[in-house]
Amino acid sequence: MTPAEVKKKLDGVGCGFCLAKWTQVTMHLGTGMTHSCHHPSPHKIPLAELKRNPSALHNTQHKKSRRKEMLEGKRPSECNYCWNVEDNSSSFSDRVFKSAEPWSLKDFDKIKDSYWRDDFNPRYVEVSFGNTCNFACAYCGPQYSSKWVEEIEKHGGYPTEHNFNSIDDIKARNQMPYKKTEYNPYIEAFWEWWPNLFPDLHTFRITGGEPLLLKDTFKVLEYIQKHYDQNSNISLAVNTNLGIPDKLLNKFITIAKDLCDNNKVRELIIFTSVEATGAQAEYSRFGLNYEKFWSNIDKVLKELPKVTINIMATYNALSVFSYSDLIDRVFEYKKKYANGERYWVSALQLDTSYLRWPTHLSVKILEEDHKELILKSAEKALYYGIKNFTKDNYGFSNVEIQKMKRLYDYAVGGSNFDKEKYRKDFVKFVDEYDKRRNTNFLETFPELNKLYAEYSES
Amino acid sequence: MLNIQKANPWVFWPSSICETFPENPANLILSGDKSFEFSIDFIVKKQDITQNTIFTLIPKYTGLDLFPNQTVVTVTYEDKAEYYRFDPLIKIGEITNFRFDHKPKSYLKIFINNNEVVNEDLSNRTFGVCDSPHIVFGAGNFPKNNFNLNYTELDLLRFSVFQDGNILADHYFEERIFDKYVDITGNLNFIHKL
Repeated sequence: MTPAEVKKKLDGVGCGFCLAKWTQVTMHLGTGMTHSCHHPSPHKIPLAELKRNPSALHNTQHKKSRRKEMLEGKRPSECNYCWNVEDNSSSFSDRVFKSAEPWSLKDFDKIKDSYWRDDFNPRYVEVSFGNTCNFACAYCGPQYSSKWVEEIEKHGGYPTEHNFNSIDDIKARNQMPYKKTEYNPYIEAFWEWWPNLFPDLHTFRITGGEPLLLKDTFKVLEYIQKHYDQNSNISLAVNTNLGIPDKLLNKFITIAKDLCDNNKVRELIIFTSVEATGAQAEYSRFGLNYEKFWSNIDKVLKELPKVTINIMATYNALSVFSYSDLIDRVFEYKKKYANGERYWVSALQLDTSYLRWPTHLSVKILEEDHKELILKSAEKALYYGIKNFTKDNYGFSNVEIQKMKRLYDYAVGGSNFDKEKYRKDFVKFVDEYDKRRNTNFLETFPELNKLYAEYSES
Repeated sequence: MLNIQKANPWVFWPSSICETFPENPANLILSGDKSFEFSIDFIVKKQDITQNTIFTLIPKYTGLDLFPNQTVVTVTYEDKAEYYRFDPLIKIGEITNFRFDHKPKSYLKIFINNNEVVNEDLSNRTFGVCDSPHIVFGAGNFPKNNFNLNYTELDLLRFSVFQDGNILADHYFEERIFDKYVDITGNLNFIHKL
């Protein structure tokens, strides 16, 4: 179906009707939050609801009220992102695209005819079992990294204008993550619900924290290994920083090998992150051993010949000087591990997104000539590009290239970005970061010494 | 220099890889509704007894072909294709320059080694218009199409595209990345191997 046809079908039920409110969920079990679709903010899952019904991890009363609005032809205000798109442009909103997904559309009639109070097993599930992580990336925070929690509990938030990564606000909103050692009722509910949920899943994605440091990740993978007869058509995705101890990575590879070799899943994709090279990458992804990261990529791609690794690059101000080298490395691995039998076309993909928050790390703080390096990187990717993104080819795809070019457009694009303010924040941030972590910004980023000197108060 | 082996054609089609990059790919101006000029310096290495295509601008076939006893320039207009036939103008093993100069509603001129061989009045005629024109070097078509191929072994020495006096693409074939030759203008109008 075309997007226009899907929109017409949805509008036939109501102008705010979106299947993702039923079919998709992201559950942050470490904090007890849930949302369906990434546009509405996550909301807290009431423990009282969970006691009665473990599927309240998805089917909260809050969400059911929004579904009621949708079925009655109303537009829930929490979905404003889509209403803005629909009211102010001729583009289709994510309401249409998410409803058009194969994991959504096939349930159209069932959902349309359902009662708003009914529970519904989602098809696309993203779960984070907690924030346990051995990294404390410069752009991350306590909600997603236990290392960050440790640091902030010891030193407090950063002395930037908005007190970057302070946990006072998180505590006030009752959103502090459970510690790994604490009893977590959300995880208990997950396991209660899981046997009922698993057979209905189209896609299951495990995020973190660092999932491979958590026993629940292995428990769920072992469950899939054992009960694949209930759903061997599942698309499985696992996030990992690939900086975990060898023992855990080997354990994961052994399970993944069984899942792939014996067709116990439809596909297995590994998502990881890096957005610079060498010491600059290790600076911003604190905890990373850059060469070990690549040797782990080698190991995974070698031992799992069907698996694709997708690098989700959160391109920020500290990426600019080495991203071009990263492109070379990714290209080298695309070539080295192209074998025509991967679940996705390429052995390794570089998915470039630009960082918007924290603002002091945005590429928008950079000098204009540094922004030109982004364009140079995109040009390199274009020369490494391939017309036919097929399994008998290797190289960068149209989408990989487009996202790099889009990043440049974002960097140089006009906006009301307060460069002066955020450059000051940037310098305050790296000063404090160096102090707390015994790093050396000026040695690691000689290219930014001038900018630093200009905005340093000392 | 780019040595094109027989049955291994190359193509000037920089818009074919990424939808949004380069922003103004130069192949898109090679159409009857745009003003453009392009120039090719080449050496034909060998001639067959039937037909050799030096290059072709497609999808509406405009090209340069060698036959045993004649040189043929084909130009496809909106109304029909014209075949301009000459006694052999291209010597095997020697440098030839081919220049195509097009001004819509005005003229189309073709020069071989600076001699004007075609001069068409376009005040009432339009050169072929198409959405995504591209030039294949060393063949008359894409190998996968398996017809009208007429492969030719040749050396490309220089290829340039101009519009209103501005150079948009320029190739001396010196820097090669992943089977693409780098456009030295910096406009990303690369030539790539098929």
